[in-house]
Amino acid sequence: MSAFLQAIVNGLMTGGVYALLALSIALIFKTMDAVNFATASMGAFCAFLFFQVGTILNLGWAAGLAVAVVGAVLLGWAVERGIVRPLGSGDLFRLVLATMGLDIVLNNATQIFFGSGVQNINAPLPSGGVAVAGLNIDLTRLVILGVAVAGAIVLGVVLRYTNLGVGMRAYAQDPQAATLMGVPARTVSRWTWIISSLLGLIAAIMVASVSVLSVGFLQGTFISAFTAAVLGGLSSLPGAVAGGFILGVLEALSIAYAPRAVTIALPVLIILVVLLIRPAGLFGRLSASRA
Amino acid sequence: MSAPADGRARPVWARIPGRDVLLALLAIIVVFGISGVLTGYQAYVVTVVVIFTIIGASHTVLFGAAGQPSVGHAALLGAGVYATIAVSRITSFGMEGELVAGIVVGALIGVVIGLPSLRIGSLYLAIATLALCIVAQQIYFEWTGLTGGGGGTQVPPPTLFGTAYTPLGLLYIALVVMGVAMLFARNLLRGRQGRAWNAVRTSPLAASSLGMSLGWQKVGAFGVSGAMVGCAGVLYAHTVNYVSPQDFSLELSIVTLVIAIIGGQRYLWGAALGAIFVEGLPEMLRTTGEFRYVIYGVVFVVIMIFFPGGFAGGIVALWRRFGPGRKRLAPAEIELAPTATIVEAELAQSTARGSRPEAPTVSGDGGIGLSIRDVRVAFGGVTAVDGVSAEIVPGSVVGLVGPNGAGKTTLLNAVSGFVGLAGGEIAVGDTVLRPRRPAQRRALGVGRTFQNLSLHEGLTVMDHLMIGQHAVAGYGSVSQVLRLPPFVRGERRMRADAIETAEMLGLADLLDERVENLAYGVQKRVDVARAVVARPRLLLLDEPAAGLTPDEGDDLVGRVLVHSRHVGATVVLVEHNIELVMRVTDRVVALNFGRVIADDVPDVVRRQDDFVEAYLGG
Repeated sequence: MSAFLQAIVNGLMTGGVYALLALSIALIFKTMDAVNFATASMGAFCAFLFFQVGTILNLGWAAGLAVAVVGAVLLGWAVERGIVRPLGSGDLFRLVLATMGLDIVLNNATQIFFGSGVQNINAPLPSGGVAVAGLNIDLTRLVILGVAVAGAIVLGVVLRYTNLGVGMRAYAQDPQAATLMGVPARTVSRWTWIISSLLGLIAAIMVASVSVLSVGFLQGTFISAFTAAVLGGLSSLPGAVAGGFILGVLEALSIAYAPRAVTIALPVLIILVVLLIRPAGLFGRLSASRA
Repeated sequence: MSAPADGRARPVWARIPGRDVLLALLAIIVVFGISGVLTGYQAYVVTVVVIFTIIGASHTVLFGAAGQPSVGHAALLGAGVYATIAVSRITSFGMEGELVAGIVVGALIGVVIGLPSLRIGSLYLAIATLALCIVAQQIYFEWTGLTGGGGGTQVPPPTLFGTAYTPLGLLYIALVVMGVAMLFARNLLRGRQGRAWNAVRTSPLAASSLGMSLGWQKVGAFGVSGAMVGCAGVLYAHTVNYVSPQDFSLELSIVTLVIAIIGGQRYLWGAALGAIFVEGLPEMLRTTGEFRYVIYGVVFVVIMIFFPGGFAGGIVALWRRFGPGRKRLAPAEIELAPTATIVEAELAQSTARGSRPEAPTVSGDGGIGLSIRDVRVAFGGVTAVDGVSAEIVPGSVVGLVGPNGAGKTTLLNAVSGFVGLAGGEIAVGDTVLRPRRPAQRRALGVGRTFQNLSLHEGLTVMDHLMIGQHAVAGYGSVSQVLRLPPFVRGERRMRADAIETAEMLGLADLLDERVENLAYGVQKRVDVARAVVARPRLLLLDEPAAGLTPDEGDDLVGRVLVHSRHVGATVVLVEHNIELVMRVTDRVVALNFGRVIADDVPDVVRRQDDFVEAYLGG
């Protein structure tokens, strides 16, 4: 029983990161109707900024974070301005394909700038574990879970209570109607990419804190987060969060109880089952253009 | 794509039959010649380019024509590679057996990957290919007996019918394989199958009304694409000698798609340009790995933004602009041609009489009847069609009228199978229609037009007329690939019918124009032409005169009705122009709020109170 509970706790803690990155994917999908295949490489590039500036230049974590946040904002802005806007709307697949190209560029740019080595990170997060009711809770992962939940809440507040957020939601439902009602399409598009980029940065820092920093280190998490987003319905933000936690728990359970092959294939199996049985996911709606 | 029917002059080279095949042969011979002086390494590079040309061309079929992007092609390549290894270990066959195995395995896996398209749309299918790519790579890792797991495995040296081959010999084999694969793919793309894929990509709605099953068309494209990648896998295995599951990553899948798009995904030869750029140039220039990927990533994004047609699309556009022989019509020059005299004479007569044209001869048997029995269609809580019954007798022309929101188009869509029924049934002749099976309708002889056109962007008027005859082509894909007599006869007959229909509707001079360049009134004619060219026995016209001037509308409807009389078709005309409907129909069915409020000959309906009230507000 305690092994089971331990697996659930571990799963929830991993699920937080999935949820965060899934939010980044779902936010783009909701407003742009496109999957951003460069989600991982964008986040990873900014995470490199954070750790490299922080540790190598010896400027301290705060300066590193500031540089990384500025980097993420600039990157999100640049992608929107340089790729998304010139592509325009129309063909559903052009943006998706363009993000694949961007992924190639960013991955290799990361390698050129920061080298191809693998670095262990000394994250400024508490370490060690505490025992609660017989369960071992890793402090680093607990903090990560907290950051993820906080990130999701902040995003929710922004979308619900700010002018920008309401505009973004209106634009996502019907771009044309929203534009006619005075929602500035360009601003919405720009901030969608900037916020998505910031979410990716946070997720990337969290993942690097408990693993290593290397080119493409976020790809595995991206597949999981993408699975979580598909599970939640791709266009649903609450769905992305729920999907992240569900996937985290399922993964932890399969690690504890199932053969290794099942754990490896789990995301893919979930994607296939969801697509075949309920393409709209747990919380999504199927739009005519996607169906 | 289509021969000029208007006798405009074209240069001599353009009149050589099969000139592109000759050009391709010439290119291959040149490479053969050059190959003699290549070093082993250079031969290796050229072989890699050839392999990726085949894979890129497989995306031309699947993505360029059928509109389905796939990021699962690395899995297909792996399937071809491991089929090769299995054959060489288990049997005594050389590449002759491996190629068969690679093609069969690739096609089968392609079909399996494509099968979900019977249920899900193209974006979700693209996601499924991503999932399959990852799972296939895992399978390759785990299947250590065959693949060697993470350590990889050695590929036995290539033999063909018992003879061993050097890298240069392998290049020759690869060139031949590429030539055959490209020829087959080209033959598939030019003709019924390729037109169907293009139709499905550009307008699924219209394609299904013409008898194409959207899902199965994509499954077929996946199968063909898989077969091409499978045979590329055989060449790949022998070229690299040593394969590991690491090779068959998502990144490789994306690279193959990048090759197709940079080269120009609409043209098979574009794949060669893409493969040279992505796989060939960096090897020859010896640039370092990282910069190479950055450069082609940037080039890819730039091409996506500024030149969606890729290298090949750009070359074709330049050729159209500056090349000899292809004079484009200025918009002012586009005008409707004089039409077939018989139609003209009848129109003149009918205009003079102020009644609908009577056909002097009826060559068909009068068409097929339509029975609508207590049909209900509901969207959520809204009942758009509420218990409508109507019996439309063979050979009649029936007007379906009613104010906006009365349920006319919904009823038409139910007959077409685009929306399901909440109750009742619809029969064409003696056959009760299955709801939500639009492709079934065409087989029964039902054709329809679309209020909002649903044309195939990028295709010519001639293409539309040929697409309209999809269900009556009279040949299969095998005849098409091998260019057998049924294909030649079928194409000739369809082309003749297409030209006849084009003349009837005044489109004869515009056969080579792409539809997006045409004026709205002309596009409307193309939409009608596509529906009538295969001589439907029951023709559903959805507001053919909407958006046209009264004269244009009269003219178009008049021509279609004369044609329908000649070929023997029942016509259901949905139209807002009441005067037009009253003039040309035998009977008028009026709907309001989803119910029939009048059903009689035009003169009676015209005087019926509730009809007048619904229309004129009392």
